[in-house]
Amino acid sequence: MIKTIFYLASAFVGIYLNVWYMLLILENRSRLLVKEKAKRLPKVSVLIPARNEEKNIADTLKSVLNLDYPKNKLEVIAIDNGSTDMTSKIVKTFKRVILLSERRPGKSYALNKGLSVATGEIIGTLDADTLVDKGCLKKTVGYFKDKNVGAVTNFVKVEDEKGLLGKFQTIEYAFSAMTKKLISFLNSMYVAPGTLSLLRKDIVQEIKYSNDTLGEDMDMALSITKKGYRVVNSLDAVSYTRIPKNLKNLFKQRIRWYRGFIENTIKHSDLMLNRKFPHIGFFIFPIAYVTTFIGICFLALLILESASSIQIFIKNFLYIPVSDQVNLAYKNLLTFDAILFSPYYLISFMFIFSTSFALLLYSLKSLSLARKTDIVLLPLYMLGYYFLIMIFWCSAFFMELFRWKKRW
Amino acid sequence: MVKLNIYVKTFLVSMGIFLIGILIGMGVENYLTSDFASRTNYVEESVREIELEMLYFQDLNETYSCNFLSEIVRRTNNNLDELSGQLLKYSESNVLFGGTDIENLKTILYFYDKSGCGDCVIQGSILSILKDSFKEKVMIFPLDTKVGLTMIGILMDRFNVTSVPSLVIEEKTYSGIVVGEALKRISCDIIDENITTCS
Repeated sequence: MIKTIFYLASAFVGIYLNVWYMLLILENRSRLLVKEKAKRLPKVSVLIPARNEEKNIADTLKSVLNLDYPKNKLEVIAIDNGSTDMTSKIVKTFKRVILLSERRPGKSYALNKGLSVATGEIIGTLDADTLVDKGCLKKTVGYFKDKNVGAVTNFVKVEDEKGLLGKFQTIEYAFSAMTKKLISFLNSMYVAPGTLSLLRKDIVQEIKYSNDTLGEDMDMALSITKKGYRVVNSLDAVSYTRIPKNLKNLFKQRIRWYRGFIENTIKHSDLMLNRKFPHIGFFIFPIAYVTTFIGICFLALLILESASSIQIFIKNFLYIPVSDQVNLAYKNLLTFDAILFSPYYLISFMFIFSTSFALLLYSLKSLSLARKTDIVLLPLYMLGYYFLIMIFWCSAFFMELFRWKKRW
Repeated sequence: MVKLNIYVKTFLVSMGIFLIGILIGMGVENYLTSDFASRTNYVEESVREIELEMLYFQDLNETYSCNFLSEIVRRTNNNLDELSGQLLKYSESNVLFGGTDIENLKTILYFYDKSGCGDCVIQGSILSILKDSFKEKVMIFPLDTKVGLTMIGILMDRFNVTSVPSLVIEEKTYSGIVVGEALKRISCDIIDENITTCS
């Protein structure tokens, strides 16, 4: 009975999420790819915190210095955050770059240090492993002509999409970009990542980067929102990020992100069910927890069902040859799927699957990233990569619950 | 605040899709169960008919009645065969059902109890592997003793089956779970000793 209620509820949540997403696209279709041209170019200080980034820092600095922006209006500040490699030596070879040093480990300390010397009226934060497109800055500063805009983020693309994991992340980043654009219309953009997100310096100076979270970028965006400013997104400004190439590094990155997300939802729990921020407070934060809960239950069910098949597996150990046992365990697992594909849920799951496919494809197409290979990969992405991400989410959730040591 | 409407709109659309899904699900479920129910009824009626006819014909010509009855039994059995095959597929049983009328076809009757018989699960799994090995050489009839079909009752009396799981392999009854070497020996002796599993 509980199982049935759970399946029905998760089917409804799945349908609801996809319908919500589609309606959001329908309502904002005309605004998605609108460009904001800058009438005036403000001075921008780009802060680049770096810790042991000798492999990446040179490329990053070159791409920043190559930005299509007046030289006298672009200040580049690299902050060495206790590197033990050649990072600071490499930075010194770039004449136009100001090099600072911050011994205390932590990205927030480095960013605050940079903030203390920055002279631009706009601050850009850039991770040392991220590259920027030539026109990126010019395409984003225009948004600041609206006095209510506190921060502008851009479209983060994957730098090198080789390999299956790279291709999956390309799809993921495209969908994430589309999602961020859409929720920015609801004034609910909750993160301003270090991919040359631009922020008004006076606001950032007032808030300051806080060191009590793994997600300082989310903390800052939420603080800006709480101050009554908008965080917006520009889909035509592009930056390129280096992605993890193997599962271990991906796991490490995602644990950091998702724990940062959980920490920040707790830190900013005053937003939860807050009438002043209806979209974040009543939908975006709660739904993140609801979907995580559903994910945990699904994983638990899968483990329980596997356990019962493993039990039979062990019981049969003496009687049946090993090759048949594998076959048998598989058959037992199939009965788990059979519950999902009973006629009651079939329509719901078919709807969720097909609309998810359509939404992913729409995101890829609108951002001119759709290629034949991607389309072939989409079902695999939905079945395999989602599952992987769900495992990461659950791990992050339990790590946070049992207060495991945080690692950068 | 106007934007909040999107959640109401979403709710209405989602509820619509969700309910359509449930309704179609109910329809499909209903159709399947009623279809199975009516066909089970038909088979049960046929069995009752056979019982009556058997009583009637016993007083007349024995040879005639035997031929006549065996024809009806065969037809009813075919119906039951088809029906239980579909039922099994539908209930995602591990026991594979199949086989066609060929010469030297051996039969195994497998008496089980779907509710609360731990050994039945294992016996069922093992029989499905046996079926995989012997393929069309053997026909396995899984018979749920709790279904209450007259025919199953008759078979249980005929083969002296008193407990589950029990196997009747070519008219010989084996009570309790039959696995490993014992099952291999029996099946190789009776069904076919020329397949790779037996060598």
